Amino acid sequence: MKKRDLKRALTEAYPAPDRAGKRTFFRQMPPAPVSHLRLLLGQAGYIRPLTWAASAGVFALALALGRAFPADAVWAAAALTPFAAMIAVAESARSALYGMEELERSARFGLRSVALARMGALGLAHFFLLGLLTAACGGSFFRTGVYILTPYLLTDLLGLAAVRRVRGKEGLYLCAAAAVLTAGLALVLHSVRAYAPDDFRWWLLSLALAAALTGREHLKTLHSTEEMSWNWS
Amino acid sequence: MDIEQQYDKIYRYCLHRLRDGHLAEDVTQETFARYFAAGPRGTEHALRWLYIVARNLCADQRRRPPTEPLPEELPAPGDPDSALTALALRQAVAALPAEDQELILMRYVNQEPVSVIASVLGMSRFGVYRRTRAALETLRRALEEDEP
Repeated sequence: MKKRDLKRALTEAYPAPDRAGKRTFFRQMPPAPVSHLRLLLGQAGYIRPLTWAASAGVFALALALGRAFPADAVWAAAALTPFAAMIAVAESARSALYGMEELERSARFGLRSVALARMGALGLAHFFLLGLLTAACGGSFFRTGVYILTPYLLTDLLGLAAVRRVRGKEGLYLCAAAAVLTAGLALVLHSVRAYAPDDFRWWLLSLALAAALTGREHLKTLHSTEEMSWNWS
Repeated sequence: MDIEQQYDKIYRYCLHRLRDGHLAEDVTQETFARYFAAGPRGTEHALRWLYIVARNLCADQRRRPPTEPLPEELPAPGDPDSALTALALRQAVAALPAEDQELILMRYVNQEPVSVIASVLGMSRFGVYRRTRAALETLRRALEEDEP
């Protein structure tokens, strides 16, 4: 017998286990535990490449505008970040948009964990890019960060409230309207010189308020996925 | 790592060591129950862990007094020609030294990477290559001698 034939014969010489017993065993076993980091990284892989590309595009545009017009870098970035927030909200509402909520609720990781992991992955990526953008805009990192983060959080707040109350495409249209409105507001604030150092305390107050309300809105969104699963069970 | 595929491999490993399908299934399931409870993640670590736990559980099992006599032969595949070849092959493998039997089983039956075999058996990669080649040659010669 040739060595190649011998190797092939060896693979077939030992029987496989009983299929029924194996199936029953695996059905009884609990799924292997997954760490938070692994869940986050795993779910990041399910975020559409288009979402990542659109996010990168918005930040790249803000950076390019900042390079081209250094004097207008801050307010231009502030006017563009609402669109990044809109992309994040649209991604978190994807299950509802395609009617996949019920299916995702019955999967190994519930909709709540999946939504939290995806919001976390995209949010972390956005905050990293916001940090880069803030550093690239120049000036005081803290002050620039406040100017850029406030419209982002405001859009996040309005967008989440919209997609939670109005389901389907209409919710996404409202979210897009919120992004346009916030971007417009950033332009108006620039024209009335609201980026002056004297008015910074109002920005701080707005940021604190937007952060608190956005956090509350995220909690409400997560609770609403839980309520729906109770209603449907 | 495809856990169900690993189940088949660990079952064959246990079957080879215990020569009893029911005992092999029990030991395989015990190995996987322990893996799900506290096994390491990461393919190579997990594979090494599964083989070592299965080997220890088989050793425990063999130390216990048998409740009924062990069957002489392993069940053979359905086709008569293949069944005869498989039977002759298993007899030839059983005639090899214990460590060579494990090497042949892990390398050619379960098709494990050399790195995994080396870490499970505590050998160097070169040692695994050398011993498997020698064992395969011994096996081939033993089968040639058996042929009419």
